[in-house]
Amino acid sequence: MTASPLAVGPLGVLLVGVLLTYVVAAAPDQETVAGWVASLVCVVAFATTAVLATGSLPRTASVLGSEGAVVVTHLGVLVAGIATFVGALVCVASVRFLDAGQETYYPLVVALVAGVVGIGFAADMFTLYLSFELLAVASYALVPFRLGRERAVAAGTRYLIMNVVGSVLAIVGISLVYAQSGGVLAFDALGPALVAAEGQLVDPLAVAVLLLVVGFGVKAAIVPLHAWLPDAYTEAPAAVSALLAGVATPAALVAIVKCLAVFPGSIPSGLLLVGFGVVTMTVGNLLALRQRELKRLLAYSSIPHIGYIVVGLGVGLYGGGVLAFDGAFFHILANALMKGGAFLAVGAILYRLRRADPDNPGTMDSLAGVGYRMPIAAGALVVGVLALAGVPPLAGFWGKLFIVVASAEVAGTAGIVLALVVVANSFLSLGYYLPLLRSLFASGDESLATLGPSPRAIAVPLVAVTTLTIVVGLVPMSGFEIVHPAAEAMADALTGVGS
Amino acid sequence: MTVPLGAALAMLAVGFVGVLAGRNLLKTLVGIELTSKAALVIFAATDAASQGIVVLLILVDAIVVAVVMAMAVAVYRQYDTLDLDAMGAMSW
Repeated sequence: MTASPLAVGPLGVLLVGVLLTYVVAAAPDQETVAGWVASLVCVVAFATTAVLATGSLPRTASVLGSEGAVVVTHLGVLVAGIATFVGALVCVASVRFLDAGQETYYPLVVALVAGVVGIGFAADMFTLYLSFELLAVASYALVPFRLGRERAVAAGTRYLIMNVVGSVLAIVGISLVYAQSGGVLAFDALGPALVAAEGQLVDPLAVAVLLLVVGFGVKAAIVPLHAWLPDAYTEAPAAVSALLAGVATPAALVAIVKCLAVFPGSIPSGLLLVGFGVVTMTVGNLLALRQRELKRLLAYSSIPHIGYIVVGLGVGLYGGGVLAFDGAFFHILANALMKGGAFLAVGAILYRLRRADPDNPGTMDSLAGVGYRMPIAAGALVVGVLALAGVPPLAGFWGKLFIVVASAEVAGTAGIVLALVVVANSFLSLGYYLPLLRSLFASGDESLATLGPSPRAIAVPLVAVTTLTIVVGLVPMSGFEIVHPAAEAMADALTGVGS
Repeated sequence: MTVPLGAALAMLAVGFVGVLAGRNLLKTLVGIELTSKAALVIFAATDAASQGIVVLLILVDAIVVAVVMAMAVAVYRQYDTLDLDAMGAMSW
């Protein structure tokens, strides 16, 4: 492992960026400038991550004298790259959504991205927890950002209480690990430390696994811990929903898998995740079938995608297969593009609809004809939704395919049943995606004739995300090359624990 | 280790019940704080090297308290009450 000061680069840029963005935004009427500064910060962090990715990995660095709090791994580069990329697009898109006098918005967005990057790069469980808290606290303020709306405050309160309790459970789990390992929390040293302690006391470790899965699982919206999600995504600004669904919830899953990978194989953490994953995708799809409101439908449809990723991670932890991790990480990448694009497109559409008629309910019926008035937003939504459903030549297909194949390979008959459940869920999701597409292009009534096209600040990120969704789908090797080193490192770490 | 561990898990349980049963947002906050102290007890009981972790955790707790109280102010402005049942925030 090589040490270099550049390893703290992405995180350092983002943390300085939080302050910088706030200083700019605090000046009167400078919210738009702050938006550009925030996206520039994300772009610089992305570039630093890209530079790190080309060097030899893993690479370590010391922060404030304590050695190795941050380590740049393949998984970290993947997470940081996704987070900074989506963060930059969200900042650009938000320029149009934001009203005056909201100077805390961009610093909070940058802080959220910094938290996700920290989760990717954390070298020990405590740094992971601190990054997770940074992400969490920023999102506590972003979800109820429109404090003047009654429902936003209620949604924010529910989100806050559930996630604070989740964070507490996670840190109690980490404290149990600390007690069992005798003061070791670093990921690369924990494996042997925990195996040694296994003989006398296995139970506290099982409790710790459960606490970590449940604690981080609240933020990841694993069923039955998803109760905060529909209201939160519906009431949060669309750009924040894009960031939460595309980046923050998968980051919680990365936190889970980074923690669980160090536990000894005698604890069935993989099976636990597979169980949670199957319930999550099935319940999520069934709940989404009943939704008529555009944004709420997308909110519910993020739950099954968490389920697919959890199944992939669970199969990987259970069988130690590279393919399962390939699928899970590929789907994390694809999910960021698809969900980010879909929520931004919905934001653009609702922005125009509410301009025309402030009382527009945003239901599917009120969308008739929008597809002809706002071709870019509607096109992005079509591509995003088809990709989410797993239609073959798009990004959402390949991750699911890897997960299905891996689960069929690893566990015999049970694995084939699991694979069939994933496939069945994909078809189930068409049940609510297709009506959405139909209503977009239904023959519209006259009232929509004056609807303007997508605002340019939103159209540019939409085109970027949509292009990538198609490119990653058509040329899966491009995405595969990004995720495969991370998957391989994860599988290697697991087999190292087993030996 | 058994006594501190038992005490910590007891605090976790009591606080958790407080969060689940409490109707008032501030009582919920008290419950949350009680649960979060369980982790502090376990860290502090393990070894003296954990003091850095404990100090940082206290800092994190303070931030979370500030956020929850800010949320309480927002809730009171919208609903004129801190009763979670009355505002429908925790019913599902």
